[in-house]
Amino acid sequence: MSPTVNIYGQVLLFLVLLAAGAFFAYRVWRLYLPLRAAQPVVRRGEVGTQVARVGKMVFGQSKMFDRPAIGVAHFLIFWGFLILTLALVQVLADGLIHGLRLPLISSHFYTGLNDVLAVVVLVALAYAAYRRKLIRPRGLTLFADAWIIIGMISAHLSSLLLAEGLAAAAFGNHDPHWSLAGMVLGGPLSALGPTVTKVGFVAFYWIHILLVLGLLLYIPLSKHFHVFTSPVNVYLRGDKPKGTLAKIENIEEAEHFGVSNVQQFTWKDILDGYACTECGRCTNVCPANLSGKPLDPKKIIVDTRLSTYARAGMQMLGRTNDTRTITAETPLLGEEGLIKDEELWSCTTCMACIEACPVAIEHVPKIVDMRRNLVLEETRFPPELTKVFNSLERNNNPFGLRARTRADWAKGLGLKILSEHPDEPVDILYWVGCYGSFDERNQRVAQSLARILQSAGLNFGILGTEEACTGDPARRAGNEYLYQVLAQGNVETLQSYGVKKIVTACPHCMNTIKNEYPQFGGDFEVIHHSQFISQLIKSGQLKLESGVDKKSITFHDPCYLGRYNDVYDEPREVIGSLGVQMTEMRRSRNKSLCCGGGGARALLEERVGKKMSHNRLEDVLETGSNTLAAGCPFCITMFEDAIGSTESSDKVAVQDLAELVAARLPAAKTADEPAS
Amino acid sequence: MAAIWVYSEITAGRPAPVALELMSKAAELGEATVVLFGKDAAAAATVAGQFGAAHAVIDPREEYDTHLAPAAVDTLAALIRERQPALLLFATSYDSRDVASRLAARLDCGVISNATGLEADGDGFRVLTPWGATTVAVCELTAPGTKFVLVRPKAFTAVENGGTCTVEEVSGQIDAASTAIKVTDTVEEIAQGPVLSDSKVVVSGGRGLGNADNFGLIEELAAALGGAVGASRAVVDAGWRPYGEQVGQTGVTVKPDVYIACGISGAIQHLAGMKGSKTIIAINKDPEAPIFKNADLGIVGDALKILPQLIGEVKKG
Amino acid sequence: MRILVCVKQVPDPNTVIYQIDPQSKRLVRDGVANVLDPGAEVALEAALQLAENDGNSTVTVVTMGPEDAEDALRRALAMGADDGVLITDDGLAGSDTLSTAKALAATIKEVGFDLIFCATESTDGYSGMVPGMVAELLGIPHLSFIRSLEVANGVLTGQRVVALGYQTVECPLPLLVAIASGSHEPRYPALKGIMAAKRKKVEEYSLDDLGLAADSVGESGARERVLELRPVEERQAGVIVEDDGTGAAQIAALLRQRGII
Repeated sequence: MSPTVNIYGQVLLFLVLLAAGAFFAYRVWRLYLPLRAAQPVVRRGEVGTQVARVGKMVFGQSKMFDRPAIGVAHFLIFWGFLILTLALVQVLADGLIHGLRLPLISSHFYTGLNDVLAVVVLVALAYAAYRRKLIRPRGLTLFADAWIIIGMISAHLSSLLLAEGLAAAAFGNHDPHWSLAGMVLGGPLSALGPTVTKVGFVAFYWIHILLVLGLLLYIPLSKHFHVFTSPVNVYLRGDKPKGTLAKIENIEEAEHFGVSNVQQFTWKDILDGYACTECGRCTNVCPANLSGKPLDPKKIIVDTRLSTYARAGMQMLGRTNDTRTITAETPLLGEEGLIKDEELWSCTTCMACIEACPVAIEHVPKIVDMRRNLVLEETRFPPELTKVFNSLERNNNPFGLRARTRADWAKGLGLKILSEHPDEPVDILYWVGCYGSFDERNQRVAQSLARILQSAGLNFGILGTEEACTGDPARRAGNEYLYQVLAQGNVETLQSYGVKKIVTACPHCMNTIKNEYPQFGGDFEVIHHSQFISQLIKSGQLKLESGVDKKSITFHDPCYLGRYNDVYDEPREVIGSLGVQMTEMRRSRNKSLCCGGGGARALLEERVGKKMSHNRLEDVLETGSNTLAAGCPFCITMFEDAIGSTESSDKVAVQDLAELVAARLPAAKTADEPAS
Repeated sequence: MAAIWVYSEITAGRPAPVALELMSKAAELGEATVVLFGKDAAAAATVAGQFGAAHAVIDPREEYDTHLAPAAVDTLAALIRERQPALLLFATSYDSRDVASRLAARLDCGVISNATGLEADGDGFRVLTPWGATTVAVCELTAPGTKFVLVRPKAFTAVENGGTCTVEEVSGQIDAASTAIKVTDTVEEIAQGPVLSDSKVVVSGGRGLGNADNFGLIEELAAALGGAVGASRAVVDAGWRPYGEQVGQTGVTVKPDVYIACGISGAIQHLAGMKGSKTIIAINKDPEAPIFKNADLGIVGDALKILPQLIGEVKKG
Repeated sequence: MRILVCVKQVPDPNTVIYQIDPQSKRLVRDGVANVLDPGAEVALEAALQLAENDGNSTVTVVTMGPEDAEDALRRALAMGADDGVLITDDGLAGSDTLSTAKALAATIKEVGFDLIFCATESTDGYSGMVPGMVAELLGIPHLSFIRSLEVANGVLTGQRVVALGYQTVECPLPLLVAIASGSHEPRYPALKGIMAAKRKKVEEYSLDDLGLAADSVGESGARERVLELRPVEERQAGVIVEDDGTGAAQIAALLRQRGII
């Protein structure tokens, strides 16, 4: 029995579908316009990789299972809804042309699957409702939008099942062995009598159609637009290195710098906003947010989206949590704006948000884009940065120490300084970085690494006073101009010596030279010292003395090594080769919690909330290890501070991997006592 | 005997303390004449006599107090032209610099600032000025006429000899144009010691002090030296001291004449804020502390033991 | 209002090392970057704020120095000054404070002004003589240690820092004010400012342009001479000693030598 009864019903259904479809298309078009007007960016990648990513992240829901319960529930809702939507196609087909049976989706099996999934999705929705009402997880936006969706889908599925049961009661089960709703509900409902069940069937059929069409029209104005946008967003992420920021081309001629309104974002940034599900995973892993800073990465994305909508003359619905009135005129930045300066300056660019996002949103580049505007156009930034910028300009380091003293740490070590031996090319350049060069604590790391390289008998050298800051802190603090000046200079210096392979103990230097200097024509093979030492040990070039010591080690994954460059195993291999006890922290590898030093934050004062480094130190102390192995000078500096100000030096000591290894070099077995 | 004049500011009815130091030095090198302008000039002249001045030239009109330097320059220029002393000494202070600079330009005289020493050299004088922490330049003024020297406080010792001086009252011609400036109000602000970023002396403490209470020693030493209190980030983070006292990369940058670091290891974060200090003194238990690499004088020892002794020494003078 | 700001290029005070070259008897500047004097940045900031509030003012920066002192002017222009004047002449090298003031005053007369800003003292020489001398040579009053100011109806009112507080002072224009260091937070130039600065006009003046005789300024016109350089007595730099009970006394001795106690 077809629910549309007769030709009038068929025509009505056709008109309703047409109207809903047209209205939906209109809304999507209005939202497409901002994408078209946004700044161009090329996001191309290998198709296979991109499809695979969509397979994993969208169809496999890979990022969702970090929270197992809602992960499973969402997985079921996702797949259930996908299959139910296909079933709906069959129902509509039959409604439009009586008796039309589409292949596969009109099968008995599909009918049965349909009913099972409807129930399963209803259960999953019940869990979602329970979670929102009673668990109220941190980071999740609790507002009417979600309830509207949960309500509409639940009502839609309930009416679907009811319609099927009523049909079975009125007309007999059309698919007696497969229509589960018919089998379960048909009997009891037939008690209502033939008239009621017939009318009821038609009514609930229409209700379930109208609800799903209503949902379709509602979705573009809701966070649930992500059902359409997130697969696209995941696909279009492209395959640019994760941590690379875009270069401002022809910066000297540019009229505007960075982003102060959403139109200055790229289309991918706008699409990120459309794709956001407001799940709050980013917020929950943000080290700034976790330590009480005003930064909430989800809010940044949502604000860009709200601003995009407002400028497109649209309003998102159901936002009962947000009392702000946002119009096309509401500025994005500033005191009157949606995003306050303090939010932007709280970011350590650790990329935990990006790593956690189930739909491939990139928060950090947006934050840096807005910082660029504050620095280059508005000159509005924390006062400490003036000192940093001036020092970088004048002395090539952020501390304001004399550039000429950059190589003083190496005095007496017999290192080759390239400018002093122009005719003797080296195989490897050791890029020391500012901390290794100037900071007494990190000079010990530099000296250790130099000894390791010497012990392995390598032909390597340093740039000495010709080395300058890579520009990482300037770039991530938004001073793209200063960054470009430094980058250009370094690329020229490196090229003038024909440098091909670079090893560094600083993941920030590594990331910049490896992933961002290609923007300036500098293509070098860059590896982190943990990778290099691991190779040297494996190949037998570096021989370590075995030793029995009382160290128990935990390793802190630096953001710029792990999340930015996917180096997780080599540091652990190096520690493994020392034969000491190693305990992982609660949050490790790609879930490592930032020390608070990235994005120029090490050079800024942390005035609000708890220190990020103290939070991470708690993770360290939880392991009971007496040695914190590190692989980044920012981390070392932050942790030395944290250990000092929490009086934890009797519990744990920070050691760079190079220091741990250097202590095991033949005839160098000194100073290898654990902290306690 | 060479005629040496001292231009003296008046504070609280007496010559400014540094002017007394200059008078004693002038008396040692020649015949000292003090010049005093303003309503308290007569009273101040009496004190000047007790510190070595043989003569006082005073103009006790209030104009000098309200119109600042230009008025004083008019009267002083006429006196110098007429009497041509060999040397005119000023303090390196707010007001005296204003008078000295205008006067030098008007009379086309040479002037040496920031002197810390003065020696007789035949008929002339040699002036000592510090160049950095390790060198003193010995200079002479070569232009004819009266030589102007501005001397830093504490360069000489004020010696009270109980003497008296002759007092001559003059009434200088103040040009109408020199009364353009008017002081309409003077506000005394609660003295909380010098501002950290501008202070000539900074005494800083770090974790090596053990606990927040021991910071009292830092405050006491700073007060005794007329300096400001600083702190390392570690102790600010630990809540011992307010952020405003933090010296370093992310705090205040200081460039005092003397920086005393007590119980501070000297990590890069701290160093970045104080390495411009002209003289760095460090006290730390750990002989390996990086602060010693930057110190002019480093004492390896317990700050809690050394500070009370040092405070005693400073109070002794 | 035509506002002039006298600025100076100095060796970066953050990295300068106090070493004297015994030959030239000048500070060793090797490897030290030259920068716009931080004190001049403060004075310029005060001037820019006044001009911005006034809305109808131009700010001209004036400096005297070698050719490369133009870098300091460009920085000032990037911060927002409208144009610059560079007084440069080989004959001006080695000028003492009064010669410097004469060259500045002669130039300022050519350029014209309503109000002149200076730093109270330069960060390298810190004599504090030039502002008063320039004012005297121009025949205008000057106010030193000004920490805040406003101009209304041709009269400047401001707060002048004194030992125990401040004086409220007023003076009709034309006038020179020397701004107290630390009273204003100098802005970091916006990128647009940096780019615009490259195109802003910098006018050069030589001794001939100013009608100054070469022997009245520079090395030959100097009114002082360095006779000799003496090492500071008693101790060398960088002494690290174990405290044997005399640590406090050693510190006190150094403080006495530095004139602190």
